[in-house]
Amino acid sequence: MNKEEIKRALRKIVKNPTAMLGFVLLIIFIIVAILAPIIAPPDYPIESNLKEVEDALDDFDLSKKTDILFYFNNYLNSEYQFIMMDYPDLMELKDTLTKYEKNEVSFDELYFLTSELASYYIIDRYYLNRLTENVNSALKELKREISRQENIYKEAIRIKTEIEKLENTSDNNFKKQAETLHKNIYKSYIKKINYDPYIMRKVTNRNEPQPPSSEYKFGVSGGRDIFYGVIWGTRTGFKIGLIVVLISSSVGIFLGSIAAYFGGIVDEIIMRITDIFLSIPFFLGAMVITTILGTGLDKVMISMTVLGWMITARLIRGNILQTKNEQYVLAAKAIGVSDWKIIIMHILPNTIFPVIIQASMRIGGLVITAAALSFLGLGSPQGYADWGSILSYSRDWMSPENWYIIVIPGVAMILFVLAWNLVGDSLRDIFDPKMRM
Amino acid sequence: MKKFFVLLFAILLTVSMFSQVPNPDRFFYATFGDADTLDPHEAYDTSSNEILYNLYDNLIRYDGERIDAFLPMLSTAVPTEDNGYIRNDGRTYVFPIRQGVKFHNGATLTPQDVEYTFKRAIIHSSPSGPISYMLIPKFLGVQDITDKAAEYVGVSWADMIDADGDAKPEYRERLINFYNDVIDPLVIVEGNEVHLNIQDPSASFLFILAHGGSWASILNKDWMIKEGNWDGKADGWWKYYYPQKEESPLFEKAMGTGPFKLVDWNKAQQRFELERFDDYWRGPAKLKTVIRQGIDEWATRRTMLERGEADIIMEIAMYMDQMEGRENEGIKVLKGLGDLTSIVLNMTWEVKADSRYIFSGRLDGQGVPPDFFTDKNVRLAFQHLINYEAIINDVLNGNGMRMATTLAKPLLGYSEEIAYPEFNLKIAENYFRRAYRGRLWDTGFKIGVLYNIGNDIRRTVAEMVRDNLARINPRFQAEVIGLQWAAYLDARNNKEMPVYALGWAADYPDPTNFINVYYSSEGYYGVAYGDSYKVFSNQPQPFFGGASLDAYINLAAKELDQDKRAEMYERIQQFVVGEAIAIPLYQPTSVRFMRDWVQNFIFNPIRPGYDFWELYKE
Amino acid sequence: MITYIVRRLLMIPLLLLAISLVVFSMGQLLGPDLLVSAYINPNVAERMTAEQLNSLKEKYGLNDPMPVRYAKWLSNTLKGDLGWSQVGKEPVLDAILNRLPYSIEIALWALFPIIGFSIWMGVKAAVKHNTFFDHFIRVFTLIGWSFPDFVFGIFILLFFYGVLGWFPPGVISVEGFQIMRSPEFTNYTGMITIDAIFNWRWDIFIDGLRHLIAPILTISYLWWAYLLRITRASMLEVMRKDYVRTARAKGVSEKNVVHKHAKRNALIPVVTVSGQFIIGLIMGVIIVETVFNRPGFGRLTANAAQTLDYSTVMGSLLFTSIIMIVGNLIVDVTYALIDPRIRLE
Repeated sequence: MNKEEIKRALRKIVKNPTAMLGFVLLIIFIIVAILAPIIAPPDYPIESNLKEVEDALDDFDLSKKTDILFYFNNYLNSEYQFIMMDYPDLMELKDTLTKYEKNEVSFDELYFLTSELASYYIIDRYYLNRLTENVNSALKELKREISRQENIYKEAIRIKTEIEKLENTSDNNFKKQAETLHKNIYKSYIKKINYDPYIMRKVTNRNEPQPPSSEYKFGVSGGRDIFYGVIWGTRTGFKIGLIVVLISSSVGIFLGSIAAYFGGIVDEIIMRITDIFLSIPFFLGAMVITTILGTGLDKVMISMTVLGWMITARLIRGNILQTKNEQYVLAAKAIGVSDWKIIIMHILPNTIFPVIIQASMRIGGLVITAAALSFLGLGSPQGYADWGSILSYSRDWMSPENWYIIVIPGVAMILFVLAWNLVGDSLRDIFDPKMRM
Repeated sequence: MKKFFVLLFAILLTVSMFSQVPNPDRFFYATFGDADTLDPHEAYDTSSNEILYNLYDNLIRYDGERIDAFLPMLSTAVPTEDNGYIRNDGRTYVFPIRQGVKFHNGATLTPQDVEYTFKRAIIHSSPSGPISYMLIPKFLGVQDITDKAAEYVGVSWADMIDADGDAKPEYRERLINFYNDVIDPLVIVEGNEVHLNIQDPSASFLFILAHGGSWASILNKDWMIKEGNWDGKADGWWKYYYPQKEESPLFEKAMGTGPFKLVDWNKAQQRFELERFDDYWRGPAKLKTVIRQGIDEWATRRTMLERGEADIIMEIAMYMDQMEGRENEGIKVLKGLGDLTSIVLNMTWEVKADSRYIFSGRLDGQGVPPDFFTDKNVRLAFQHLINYEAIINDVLNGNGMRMATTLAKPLLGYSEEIAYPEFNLKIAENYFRRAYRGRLWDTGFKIGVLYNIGNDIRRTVAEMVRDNLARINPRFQAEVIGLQWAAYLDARNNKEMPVYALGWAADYPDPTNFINVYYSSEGYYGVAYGDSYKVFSNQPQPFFGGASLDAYINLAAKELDQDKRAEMYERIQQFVVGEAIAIPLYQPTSVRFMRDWVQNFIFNPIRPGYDFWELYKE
Repeated sequence: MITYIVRRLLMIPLLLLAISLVVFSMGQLLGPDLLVSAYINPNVAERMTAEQLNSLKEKYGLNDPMPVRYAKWLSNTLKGDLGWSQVGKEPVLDAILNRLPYSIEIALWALFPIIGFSIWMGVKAAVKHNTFFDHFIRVFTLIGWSFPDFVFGIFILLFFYGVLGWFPPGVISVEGFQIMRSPEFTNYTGMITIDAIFNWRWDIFIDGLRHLIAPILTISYLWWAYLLRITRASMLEVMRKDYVRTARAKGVSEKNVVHKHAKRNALIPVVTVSGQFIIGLIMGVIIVETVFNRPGFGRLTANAAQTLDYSTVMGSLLFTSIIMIVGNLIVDVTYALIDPRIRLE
């Protein structure tokens, strides 16, 4: 497609109101997804010292300088006190390890030192046991643990130096520097505690839904804030939808087009493999995959990809069977264009529209499948923010008073699916060679 | 096209005109799931027991709603020491058998039926059924008859029996002797009396036999033999040991003396149909037909109750709000009835080292060490971070009671004097700070809190633990992990779960069924704590005057003086609270959802399901 | 063509072997610890010791190596013994045959409203491209597609049964059930409405139908969007083709253009999808079966997969595989019938 055709295609889209609607909706969803942390701020845990710094900086005047420094140092002490204390001992252990490898110290000495540190919980007893079981791997693991603690120590030193710099900085620069320092420290704090904003926190222990209120704009379902879930669920929807559909469709297109174009035994084999995969009961397959690989959102996506490419393959195969006998294909072949070029440049663009349609319809529904899997314990942890989960909480509470537990996430889903449908349709318009006039 | 729609509409209209006729003789009970088997010696689940309760009778029964007093049933007297029917220092129980009782096929009950029932139970002896937990230990002192047989013959069971389940010729004689010497004397018929001989005196034997424990249902010997089961003789008894569930003739058939007969069990529909037995010895029931159907979707059950097509539906405390206050629609909610169940948060003292639920398995902030809960500080910290009141009020809608220990009210030994563990995050924090010489607080940890999928209450509790841990210290991370039943079971048996919620429903209303289970290192859950627990529970404790916890628990089980026994259990409870061995969360008080025309419902916590002989509709 | 069909049919046993091997090995990956749970009653499970569990594993042969287990399963299956179904509480073959008719019944009855409505509306929407009707029908059906399936099931239950009392859950009323169990009624297929016709009992027919309407409504609404969209898009595509323009230029009436020329060719993707869809219908009515309390094949397989009841899983697998393979064969043959350019080699 050259520039003229692209321009025409775009003009076509702009002129078509439904296509525009689709794109607009998608853009809104993308914006919501990107801005999720701002629209629905996660409940980051508060560290009291850092909070004091933050409050002081909000209402800043120079008299608060000492306070701020005090709280920074307080934070340093409470978080890194032990590592500061243990560092010399750890370094001694590290030293001894190297010496042991050079045979400069005996095993007993190493063991003795390790058990000393273990009795003070500086390192876990596990390493002590390991030393008696398998010295070599124990050494490797000990080194790893020591370097992990070293990194924490380095971080502590870094913060310490920054605070000292702050102490000595001029009054003019103080506020700005303090704010930067605060932001950095807070970021590293959040990282340390592995906070996952995707988990919808429970706001109440009651399981009954609560109607929308000023505090919970969309209400509460399954003990969780629907508003938070819907906003962050946008991200999840994109993640799951795009990745799974893209990969599984690609696989399907690849296999399906090879099968259809080359025909014969290639077709037989590929189609029979497709049959086999189609026969695998979905939940059983997902269960096996999660048993082997573990749980988590990425494993859910793997399950859905591995078990979801088949229909695409069959769809495109059907279409290609029809197309490969079209005049223009036969002509291209006669000219001597290579098979691959024919597939990619001529056949696929003409046969891809049912695949696009199917793909665009699948995107929304995948979120629901993911939720079903997580409810069966096969997927993402309980309470992961996605629309399917929120809708699942509504199952036992459906009644007219509880309209919001279904309608609100449901509308989000419908609009999402609709957007992709409309976009899918307009993509078909682009790909249809008959439109290129 | 138009004509098609008109036709369609006409059909729809006609079709909707038909409706089900309300019927005072027919009772519809909508519940969840299906029964497992109708063999009383195999069935251990509520659904099976619910049905068996109405098909069979036992020797004695509970008096109305009481769980500490009995009435005669198929026996004409309840054995006590005073009436002389408990003899031999509590080792023999005598039951004079009632005359004129009819089975569903017209046969008359004889003492031989009772004798056959108990002997068959012992021989059948399935390790996954109730007999090996309840009856066999009483009769033989072990849990599995094959252990006893192996002891007697001196050869392991597997070596005595060939691949077809028959005895190898060289052991045949000795196995027959085993029956005659060991099994036969356990149950003796004298005139119209049946004598049951147990190994050791037991305070709980009568509870085990009472109606409500379907494993002590009385079978019909002749019918059983005709159906191809054990013929009552010594020769060949081993062939009837532990058959596959579906091979038992009682799997889907029943022949009892109870007030209802089995008409149909439709497996596809999960539906039982029972019909009144007109010759029931206590007089025929008022209800003619009882239908029990497993309807798995809550919304469907609820709607059926609302429309009056179901008379009782299976209760779920969490949904009580949806059912309360609807008396004007004819919906009756009964609540506040204490279940003999305890829901407990268990901590494994010694987790399997490579369990994925302790993550790194080390004290590095990314996991917990396998012996995490061996530290008393950690246990006490967990004990104080659970918001007990919130669970009962918010999650259960008030349908629960506090428990100090896992012993349910109002069993013997239960005492209001024992202080409840307190929900106090500050105290929890202090204990955490003390653990691991202060390092736990600094380093943090990551732990998996597990529940089995489908159990929403346990999930909510797990989430509460996670959230409260984070409130105390954001470095205390917990991941709430739901496991499919299969995986949950597997993890539990392999000691992979560090902390998990579970429930225990009483088999019979005696404290041993709770205390031993949780606190003795040989109890079902005690075993799951790990070896380090065993060490602990065998240590002499000054609190018990030098006896270990295990020893003291066993003493209390044997004590026949009720008052002394109660006192012993109180001491045990005070000890375990202080050590935070298991964290009892609540004792559920059950609710019942039914139509207001259901009459004469008498609540008894031990009874599974409903007594359809007592109920009627009006 | 005939050779093609025969060849495909002959391959079925081979395929079944491959499929059963794949799924059986998946069970092996799970391991005996997980597989044994299917044989344990949940009540007892928490009380069992490791030794007891092991004896259970031995008893059901779970500790044997996979080739041994597979060989045993294969030889039993060829003899017609599919084993015992833990979730169905009867032999696997019986469990399936007792439940399959209910699922087929729904699928059969639902076929007409789903396919009929989708094609009719899909074609209409394509013809009335970009009008209000087009937009309305698209959004309307999309609502059915976007929600999880239980939402509409429960909604329809609550409205048509809870409020109106018209369409109750279950497959038949209590009285009807007793009539069907009595000797005066013969069960031919296991499908209530069909058997009612054979027995010439119109009361049973209406009783059964009454219990079918709500589930059919639910399923239909879920599937309309999908089929409708494919039909519509395919029609739009075909309407632009050269031969359609030619037909119009020749003066053929619009009606004939649509129905005689365009429709036939537009249906190819629909055919592909329908093949998949019918299989999905039989298997995937789990939610409808749960909410409306119908004992069905879908529910049986879902429960079996969840509880790891492998005998049932393997048994169901054979059925669904055959249905799917034969279904795909029909689809492939239909391609060739509809479009003479397609040659099956």
